[in-house]
Amino acid sequence: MAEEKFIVFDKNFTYGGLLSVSGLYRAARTFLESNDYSPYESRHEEQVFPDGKEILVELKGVRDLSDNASIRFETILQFTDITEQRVELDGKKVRMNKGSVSVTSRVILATDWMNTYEQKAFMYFIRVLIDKFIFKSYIYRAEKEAKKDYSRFEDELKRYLNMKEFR
Amino acid sequence: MVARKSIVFAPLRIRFRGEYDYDGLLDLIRNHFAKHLFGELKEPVFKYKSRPTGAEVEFKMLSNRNVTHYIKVYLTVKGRMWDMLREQKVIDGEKRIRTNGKLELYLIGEWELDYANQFGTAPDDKAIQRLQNAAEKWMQSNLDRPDGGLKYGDNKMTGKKYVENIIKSLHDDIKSFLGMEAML
Repeated sequence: MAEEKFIVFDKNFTYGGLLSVSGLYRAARTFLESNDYSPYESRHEEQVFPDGKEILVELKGVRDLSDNASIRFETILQFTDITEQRVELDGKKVRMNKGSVSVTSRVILATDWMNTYEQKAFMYFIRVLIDKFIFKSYIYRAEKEAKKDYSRFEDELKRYLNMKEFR
Repeated sequence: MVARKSIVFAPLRIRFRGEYDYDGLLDLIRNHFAKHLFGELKEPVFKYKSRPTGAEVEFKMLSNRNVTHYIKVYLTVKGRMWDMLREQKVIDGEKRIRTNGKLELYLIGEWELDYANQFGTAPDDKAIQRLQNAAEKWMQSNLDRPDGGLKYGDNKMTGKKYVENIIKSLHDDIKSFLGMEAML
């Protein structure tokens, strides 16, 4: 198994009010697509209740930085009490939603993701030495890259939701 | 022959609770196999149970397709629907049967290399057998990785990318058919 390190562990932000479910989903997926994460939905759940919809989307993506390091991005968009709203924007009636959303993300840095050094105990020992003394700067750079990606992702979603701190 | 490998992210899971068109959904899945020129569609599992809370259906559909002489892809759709209550409703002036209930679908994509076993059988000569075994071992450890092709750009990636695209398009089609909110 690859060596995994949590760069971001279950970081969460919530928003309640007027939003567009499909727009937020599109923003998250487009971000991951444009950053080479090739996203996929491992879980997509939707429940329709009389007082609104409950939606859960789990988006996952993997970006291979090199033969040795890859970043795994996992984010859960959980929408609750989603109802339909017609809003007038620039003189046009637009379909929006009202409700709340909680975005939870996890970013994992996996090194030796091809399991090249795990076939023998000696190779495992060699990997520890290599990680500690030779690949240290590369791993540090990969960690920075993962952190940067997450902060850009969070900014993108917050900007989309028009949260106050981003105005 | 190399064992079947599932694509990195399989299975994709869709869960839905609400009103949907049961017959239309099954037709959509069957048509997806036909649209992508898969072979004979097999339905080894189809169970129907009638319960007081509503009917329960369990099904499995699978098929495969030879993409090239070397690559074969498999697509499997497993599903379970329960608490199904069928009602007749008028939609756009037409009488239609809608189903209210819960459903769960699993989409599984797999790919297989050297399905015809061209590299597997060796003639009686032991030296050639040893050479073939070594070549196959090397291929398995170095080239036949799900992501190996990204580096080398060889044509076996056709299989993986192909099944990825098929499964993603089926996933999107089902979501739009069920009228789910979170869609592209």
